[in-house]
Parts: sequence; structure tokens; C-alpha cells
Amino acid sequence: MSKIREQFDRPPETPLEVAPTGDLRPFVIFTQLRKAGPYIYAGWLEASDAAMAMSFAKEHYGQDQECVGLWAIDRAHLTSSDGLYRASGRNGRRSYIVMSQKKAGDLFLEAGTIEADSPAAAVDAARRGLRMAQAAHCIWVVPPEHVNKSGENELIWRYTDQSYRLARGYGREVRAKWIAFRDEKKLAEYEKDDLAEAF
Amino acid sequence: MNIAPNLKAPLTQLLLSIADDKLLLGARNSDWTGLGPILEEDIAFSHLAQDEIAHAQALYELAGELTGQKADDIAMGRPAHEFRSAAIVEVPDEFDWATALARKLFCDHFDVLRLERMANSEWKPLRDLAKRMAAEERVHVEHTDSWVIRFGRGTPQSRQRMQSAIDALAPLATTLFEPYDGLKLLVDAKIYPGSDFTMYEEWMRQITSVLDRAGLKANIVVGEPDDKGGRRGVHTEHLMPLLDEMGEVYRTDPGAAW
Repeated sequence: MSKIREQFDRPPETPLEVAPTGDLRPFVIFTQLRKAGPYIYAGWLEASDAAMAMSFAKEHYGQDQECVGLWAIDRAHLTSSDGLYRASGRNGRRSYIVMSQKKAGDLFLEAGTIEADSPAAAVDAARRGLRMAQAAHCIWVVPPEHVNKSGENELIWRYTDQSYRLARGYGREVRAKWIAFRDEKKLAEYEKDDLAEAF
Repeated sequence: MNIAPNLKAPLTQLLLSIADDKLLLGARNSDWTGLGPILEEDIAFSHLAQDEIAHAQALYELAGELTGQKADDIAMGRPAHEFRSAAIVEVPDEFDWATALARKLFCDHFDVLRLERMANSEWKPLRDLAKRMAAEERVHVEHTDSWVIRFGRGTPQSRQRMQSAIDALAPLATTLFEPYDGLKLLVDAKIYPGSDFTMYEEWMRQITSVLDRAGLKANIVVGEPDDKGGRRGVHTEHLMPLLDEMGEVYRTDPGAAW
């Protein structure tokens, strides 16, 4: 906080007239790093609706690595094979997008589409029918209408050098200064011990 | 295209006016880092503030090529009266996020319009830089518009707070458009093509359109051309404390490398 902020005498908060509805909910984000490439799990964020989720996804998941496509999926519509997520799907035959996680801890990858009568059935069908899903540690299924997609050429990434945002540590000059400083300290300590020995 | 000697000073002033607007807006908005209304928006808002500062740096570097100075020295080493920022970016937001948003509404739309015009500049370095910045600034506009509309259409309380913020800043909105000496030379030389009344009209149309969708209003007044303001070095009392704090680290060791 700036000193200007610290010194500002903030008036007491006015109470909310309408209680917060707690409508922020999780959206999982997938990014496509190159044209025609697979969509890969990038993370998740909270938003109140798809538009907000896409807006946040563009800000949060594109800054470090550029991507050409973004998916934002309301997690309430995901069903996972490990029982962690269970969407209440409508019955009736429809297609599902499948994502699979090869080994525990791996990123989920787009694995194809499958047709089924329910989310649970889609998980089974994917296990049987999709190569990537067969031996996967975990798979997710979601109806395509719940996958919010970025538009063609919609994503633009910062053209100015953004590397300063990355937590990569300081540059060469500062590193050299630190090493010089540290070595000086070491030498001073060594000299002190040396003197202690001599006297 | 080499810059004619009589255009160097006005062009430097023009670059500074944009860069100073962006530096101060970026400084004010990065003061929300860690204090935003929700986590995701806090991060997004901080990103946008960083963008503004990155844009300012690129513009200071361009100005530095004209004056022979380093960007840091231009940004941090000038006294207040040499700044060319408009009053609207100098005033504090009183720790009110609706005020920060209302300011962004007026400034981001203005920025897109002036950058889009500069993307047609006869001076290639400015043309190339402005094209990139305009594309990024459009992302800012989308973001700001969506929040203003959300608050306008939200609860009666959110609408009232957003409207109050707009009312408080509306009198300063047109400080962005203050004319100054030399601007006409740049327009005639097509270095800054089309910075005329139509830009103001387009800006009004865009602002009105967003506010209509939000169910809000703005009472915009155009200042007198003789009222000297930020573009001509006459600043509010808020600028000095802001520059003092911003330049604190720089001033302890102006030549330091990080």
C-alpha cells in the first residue's frame, strides 16, 4: 500500500443493502498453445458467469505463455471418473468432450469426443472407446455447450516485453554484485578467524 | 522520416502527454494490488496497471530518442510543472474502487482513440508503437466496460455507488482533451493525424453507449480553451505527493541499475 493510501482517512464501510449471493464459482481453464494443437489444462479461477470467467482467463492464463485458444468450463458441469466432480446431467443421448490425465499429477489434455446417455455413461464410454482415455489415471467429461470458447483471432497478447512479471529473480548485474558482496563478507569472516588464531 | 526541428518540441510534448497520463494512471491503479474487491479482479486490475506503465516506458524511450535522455530520467527526474498529464489521472481515488473504474472508463476510451489515430502517423516509430498499444488498450476497454455495466445493472446500491463515482469525475473528464501549442503543427504534419473535434464526438458516443447499457449517466462539460491545465504544465495539488512517493527509490540513487 502506498503511503498516500496509508495516510488516507478511510470512511467507515457502508453496510451492504443486499447480502452477497456468493455466486462466484469455479471455472476450469484450458489453453491451446498452437493452432490445431491440443487443449491443455492451465488452472482454474472463480467467476460469477462465463463472460467474467473468459475475461479473467485471458488475463491470468495468457500472460506467461501465449495461446491461440482458451476454454473456460463451469466446473459444475464437469463429471470426473474419480467421483470428485459429478454433474447432474440431463438424460438423453448427446456428445461429451473428454479430457484425460495420463498419470496422477499430469495436466489434463483434450482427448476427443464421445456419445452417451448420461455423464456417468460418458465416462464409461470414453474408457472403452477413446485411446487416450483407456489407460488414463483420470478422465473428465463435459457437454460441449458448457465449454466457453474464445473466438477466432480473439486473443491478443502483450507485445511489450512481459518477462519482468515472471518470478525469475534478478538479472546478471545484480547477481554479480551479490556474489561480490557475499565473497567480501566471507573474506572478512575468514580474516577475523585468521587474526583470532594468530593472537 | 526525420523530425523537422520545429516539430521536435511539440512531438516531445505529445509523447509526454500520453506517457505521463499512463504512468500516473498505472501508479494510481497499482495501488489496488492486494486491495481489490475479489482476488481474480485484483490480479487482472494489477496486470492492466502494469500494462499502462509498460506503455509509458516505451513512450518515454521514444521521447528520449528525441531529447537525448534516458527513459528513467524523463519519468522520474522532472519537476511537477514539466509533466503533461491531465488532471483526471492525478486526483486520488479516495480508496473507492468505483472511482478507480470511472476514471478508467474515461481514460481507456480516450486512450484507444488517440492511439488508433497515432497508428496512422507519418512517423514510423510512433506508428508502430501506437498500433501495438492500441490493440492492448482495446482489451482494457473491454474489461472496464464490463465492470461498469455490471455495477450499473447490479443492485440499487452498486448502481448508486457507480453513478456517484461517475458524477465526481465527470467534471475532469475533458481535461484529457485540453489543447496546447504545437498540437496543430503535429496534426498538419500528419504526425498526429485527426486529433480534432471528431475524436471528442466519438469518445462521447462510446462513453454514452457504455453508460446506456449500464443504466447510468454522465454530465460531461467541455472546459474553456483558455483554462490552462495539465497539458500546459498547470497541475492539481495532488500531483506533487504522488510524484514524491513514486520517485522515492529513484532519487536515492538516480543512476542505479537493478
